[in-house]
Amino acid sequence: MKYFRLVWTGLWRKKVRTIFTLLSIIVAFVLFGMLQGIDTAFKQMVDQGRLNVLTVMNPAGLPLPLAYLPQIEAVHGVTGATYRSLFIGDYQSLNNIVIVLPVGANYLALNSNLFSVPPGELAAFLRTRTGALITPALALRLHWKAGDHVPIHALNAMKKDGSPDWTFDIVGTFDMPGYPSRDESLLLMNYPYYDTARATDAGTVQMYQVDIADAAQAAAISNAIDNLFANSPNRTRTETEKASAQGQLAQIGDLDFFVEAIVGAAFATLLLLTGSTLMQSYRERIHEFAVMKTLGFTDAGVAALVLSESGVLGVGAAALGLLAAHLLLPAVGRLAAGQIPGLHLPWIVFAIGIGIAVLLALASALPAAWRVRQLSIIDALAVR
Amino acid sequence: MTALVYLHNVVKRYVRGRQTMEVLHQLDLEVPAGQFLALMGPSGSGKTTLLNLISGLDRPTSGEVTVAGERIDQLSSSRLAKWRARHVGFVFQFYNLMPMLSAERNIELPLLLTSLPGAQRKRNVAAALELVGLATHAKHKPAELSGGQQQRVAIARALIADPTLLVCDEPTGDLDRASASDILDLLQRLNREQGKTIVMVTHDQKAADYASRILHVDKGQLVAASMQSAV
Ligand SMILES: Nc1ncnc2c1ncn2[C@@H]1O[C@H](COP(=O)(O)OP(=O)(O)O)[C@@H](O)[C@H]1O
Ligand SMILES: [Mg+2]
Repeated sequence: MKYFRLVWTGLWRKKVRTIFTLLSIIVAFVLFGMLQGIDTAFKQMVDQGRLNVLTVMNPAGLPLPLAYLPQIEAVHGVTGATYRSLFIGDYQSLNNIVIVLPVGANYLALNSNLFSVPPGELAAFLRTRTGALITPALALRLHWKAGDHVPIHALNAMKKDGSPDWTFDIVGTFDMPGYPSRDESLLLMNYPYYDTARATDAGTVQMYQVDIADAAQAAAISNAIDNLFANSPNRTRTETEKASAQGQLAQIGDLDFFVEAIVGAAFATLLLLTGSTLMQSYRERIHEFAVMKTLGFTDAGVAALVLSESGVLGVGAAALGLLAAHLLLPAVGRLAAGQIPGLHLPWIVFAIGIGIAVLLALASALPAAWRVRQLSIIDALAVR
Repeated sequence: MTALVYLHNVVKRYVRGRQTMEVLHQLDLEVPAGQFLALMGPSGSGKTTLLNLISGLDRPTSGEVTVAGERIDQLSSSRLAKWRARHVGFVFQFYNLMPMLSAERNIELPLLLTSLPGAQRKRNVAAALELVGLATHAKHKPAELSGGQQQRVAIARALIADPTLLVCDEPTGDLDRASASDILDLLQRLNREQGKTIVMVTHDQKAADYASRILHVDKGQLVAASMQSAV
């Protein structure tokens, strides 16, 4: 520790240069942390996708007729079917985004292993036309509680009366233990209220959810459902929840490759940049290193000082960058309006980031450290 | 053999490209403990080369160099570094202070290589600053000090670890007359009052007069001048 001051003063010898180096490392690690965080969130969505639950959607992205429900329910192997839509609204200002999910009456019952709702509150929801269940996160964020009467300004759901304002009576909360979505601002509403009040697309749903008894039959049942509607104007695409999540991921492109390419390029640039900066810093201090060796610092000792300087800078900046990513990811989640639930920086990404920082710091300082190690006192002191 | 510094048959050649230049030829030297030796000679005569061999900064091409009881020509680079830290204090013509460190941090540098705790290092540094008359300049960076003051910081740094031997290469070469005599007075006091063994290179007769013995480097060998007593 007594050498820390030497390391620190060496580091800040050229303040502007150090700050620029610091910033470039921070930026690279913000990028690394954010992309890894997003990647992790997507992977989690896929991981949590169920294999015995099918989703039925319109491949054209349009809604599907509500009238499909009895036909889907009748398909052999289907144990239950429900449906939901989705719109986005805000409460008072765009800072308070709320994701509204109009759900079929049996939606919660069919997903009872996903959602936990106190029975009394579930009953109140089902018997109150304008009733709403909200996540505890939303309750906490907007200080809502059961009995509150709240207006939500829809961003993509007009009512027949020409107003985008939907009013709800909060009847309770629902939780999704173990799912990152529980931290989002979600509101469940009754489908009849939604469907009769809305201006367009009445009698349609965004998606059906179909439970099947045997996951091994997923492909066959999916085909059976899709065949039912193959000749109708609104065709369906049925796939497992997991495959659906994977499909959504694939739409963004090969995220893994994307993340690795960007992060790899950023780190490679960093390696060259800091490497040449450290080399320059070494050249400026040849004389000083020679003096330190004269005083009895060993070759390995001065090389260790150079490596430590780089290590302190690299790891310090990486930690700052990862911290920034940690703070920024939830904000990105809010911008994504609930489409990427659970955006956060996993501690393993933080640990890997720090590990990469250590390796980069050592690798970029190696040439300079080697030169310092080999530096001849006589030659260096002879030059003035 | 009681001499603190003992050189026997020392040859030093520099190889530069295809040219080989022998700077020191079969040189012998003994410096007893407690002596203040001045090495004189014209520029390029090999004074610095000789001092570098005595202080373990460089190795002879052949011959024996024993200082403070150690065959330093046979030590590995890292052993030699540790030996220097323990036994030698260095004073250079151009001070060679660390520009980023304050006077007290410069002086403390050699103590970082010892096991002394921080509080003890601080006390020793304060005492050394006092000794060279710079107690009030502890926090000054080298650039904020005059040449004479910088050289006094350098002397304090050279003394801080209580070395067996003090080597000075043209310590007054960059100083005005008044500052130079301050520095020489200080060195002489260290030699007389604390019994420090000093080997000082100079080409200035006035500076050499402060020493208790003067040798001339001439054609790669040492030639005795008269034994002198200063002032
Ligand atoms: N590292 C070196 N490589 C090659 N030649 C050197 C080196 N150091 C010194 N010399 C040569 O050795 C001779 C003596 O140099 P030096 O000991 O510095 O003399 P002085 O200190 O007496 O002026 C000079 O001719 C110088 O050019
Ligand atoms: Mg010289």
